[in-house]
Amino acid sequence: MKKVLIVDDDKQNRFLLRLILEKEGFLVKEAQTGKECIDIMKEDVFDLVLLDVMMPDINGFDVYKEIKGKTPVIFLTALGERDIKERDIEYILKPIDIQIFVKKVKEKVK
Amino acid sequence: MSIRIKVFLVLLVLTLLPYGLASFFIFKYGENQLRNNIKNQQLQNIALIQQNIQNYFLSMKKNLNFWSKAQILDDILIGDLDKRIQIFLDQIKTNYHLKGILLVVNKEGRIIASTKRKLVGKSFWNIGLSGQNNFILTFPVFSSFDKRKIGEFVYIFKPYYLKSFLYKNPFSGLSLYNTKSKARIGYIEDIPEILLYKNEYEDKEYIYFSQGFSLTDLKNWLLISQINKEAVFSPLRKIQDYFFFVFITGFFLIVAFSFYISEKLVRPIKNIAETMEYVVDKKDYSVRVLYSGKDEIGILAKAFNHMLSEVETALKTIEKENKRRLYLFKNLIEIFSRITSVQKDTEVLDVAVKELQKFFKDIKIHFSKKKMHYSVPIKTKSIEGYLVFETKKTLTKEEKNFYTSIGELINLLLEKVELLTKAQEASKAKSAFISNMSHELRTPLNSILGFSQFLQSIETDSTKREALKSIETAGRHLLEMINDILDYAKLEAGAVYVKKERFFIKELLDEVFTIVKPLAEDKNLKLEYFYENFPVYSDKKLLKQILLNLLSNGIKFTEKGYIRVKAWKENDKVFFSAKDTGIGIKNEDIEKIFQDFTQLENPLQKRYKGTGLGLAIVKKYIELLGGKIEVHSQEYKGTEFVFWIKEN
Repeated sequence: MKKVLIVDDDKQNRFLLRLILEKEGFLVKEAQTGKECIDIMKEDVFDLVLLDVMMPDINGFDVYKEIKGKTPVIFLTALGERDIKERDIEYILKPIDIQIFVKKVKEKVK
Repeated sequence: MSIRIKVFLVLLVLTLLPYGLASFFIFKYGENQLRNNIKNQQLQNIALIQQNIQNYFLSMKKNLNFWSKAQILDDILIGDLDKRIQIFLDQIKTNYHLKGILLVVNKEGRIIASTKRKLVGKSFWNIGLSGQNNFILTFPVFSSFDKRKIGEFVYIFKPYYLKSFLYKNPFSGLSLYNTKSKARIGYIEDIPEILLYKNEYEDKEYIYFSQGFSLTDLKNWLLISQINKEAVFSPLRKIQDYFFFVFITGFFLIVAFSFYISEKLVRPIKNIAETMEYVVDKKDYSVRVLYSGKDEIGILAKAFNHMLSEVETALKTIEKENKRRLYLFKNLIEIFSRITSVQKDTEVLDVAVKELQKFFKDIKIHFSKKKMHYSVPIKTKSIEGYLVFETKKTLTKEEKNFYTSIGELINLLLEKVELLTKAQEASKAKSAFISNMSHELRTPLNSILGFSQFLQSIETDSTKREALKSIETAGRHLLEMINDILDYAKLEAGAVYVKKERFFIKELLDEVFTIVKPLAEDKNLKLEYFYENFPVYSDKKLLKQILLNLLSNGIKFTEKGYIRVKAWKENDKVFFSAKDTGIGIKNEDIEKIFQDFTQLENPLQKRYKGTGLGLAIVKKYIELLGGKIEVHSQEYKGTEFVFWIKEN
């Protein structure tokens, strides 16, 4: 089973993603903040990190700097496309389309 | 009065006038002299002729007297019986060539003998020879015996015979005129009556002199002389003609000469004047007066040319200086406008002073808190002081003005930087706020849409699934509107920046079609596209947004038919067309469709679902890309949007 870490400060979002991913047969773990994400990553290994950008303590991009190279990362963001466009990253815009989201996650994990 | 006429008049007064006056007086004098000479000569002539005539008379009388004493005349007493007297008379007549008639008359008045035979025997008183005109000279004949008067010795001759004393030549003629009988002998055709009373008279053609005789035999006669004026004065006239010819020739010579002189004088002056006028008129200082003479006019022309070249040089220097300054200014402004990328005004001032110093080699420029040398005040919120221009030479007014305006330019620049900084800060704040807002608004929507989708995927009850689908649709609609409003707010805040990149048109259209295709398929619409793949340099995301907006709009308002997209390139412009076969737009509404939400109250907008901001955003995006959009539409038939963007 593939392991996915969901990093998002919004409880509803984490819950939604967990439901979707678990339905697809992923093992899901959640982190509420950037710091928590970094801490968890120190102890555990994941196949994919779904990383929110706008978070209260450390933002997604800064988290990414810490964990870069260890695990594949897909950003999940409610920011406009134009705000993150120039960064060389993979991203899914919120609100998500479940079909597209699942497709992308599966591709990344392979 | 022109110089030409003046020269002409001066020459005329100096030469021809004296000449004319002199010749006039000379002629008057000459004519007088000539007249006097003629008169004297004529009077002498007359006197001489008179003398001749009188001498003739005297000698004739002397002869007659002598002949009357002849002894042979005693034969009168016998009536010249032997014809001796007759012979005597004939002999005298022949020997002395007498033209008149010689008679011898006895005491009774009977003619004894005569050179005219038929008169012999007739009475002397009856022969009629004593007619008015004939001259009759009588001498008494005395008898040689007793000295008794026995008859008369008579000589009768016609005045006509005196004609031989008179003469006629081309200049004058002479006549004898009898004052009683008006008889005339001689060469004058018409003798004016007035000569009876005056001894000198002059008419148009002639001068007349008349002179009486002292001899009693000629007491009724006048000797008249006629002088032909024309003949007499003709040499004078000839000279006069010659003088007149000289005068006329002189006149024309003077006309020509004054023309020549004035031409020689006036032409260069005129030339100079015309050149001056041209220079004043056209402000063209490159012309020169062409005159090579070494006279005063030449000096004038040379001086004028010299002045022109001085002015020209001065102007050129000024122009050059102006150009140099303009060039400086242009460069400065260019540099200054580039400096605005520097954010802090103190830095701007530093860079500006450094750049200025590069341009002015002979002057030291620096910023100082104190006023010194020539300084221009610099003042902003954070900077206060002077821009100092330090130089050893004395600055002219123009230079001071120039430096002052440079100072002002820097002040303006600083002000601009200040404003720009403020504006950028404000824009940044707005932008951050909008980003935040969009994030905050999308986050709950993510849950709404996500859960409704998720639940649909696991729900088996179709009614519930439909309800969930409605939640999702409404949520998506809300999301669209939020996106529109946020995009628009960003545009308004000036927080949308164009980021150009190189890409192929296919990449862009593929991305757009991936999103639009499901929407079109949902409504059974054909999605057609025509393009050749070409490279584009523009903001791909903005273009994508524009096309998405237009196409989703088209799909929204089209129930059947097709959506057709075209893209092509013309020069540096990239054209796009999005055509649908939808409901179209009413003519009166066409102009309103690009208007933004300030027009939301418009009835047209109410027919639309959504904010109605889509096209307003499209229009602003296109304008950001340096382009323009047009719409062609027919109600119930369809709409075509055509827009172009500039690559540079």
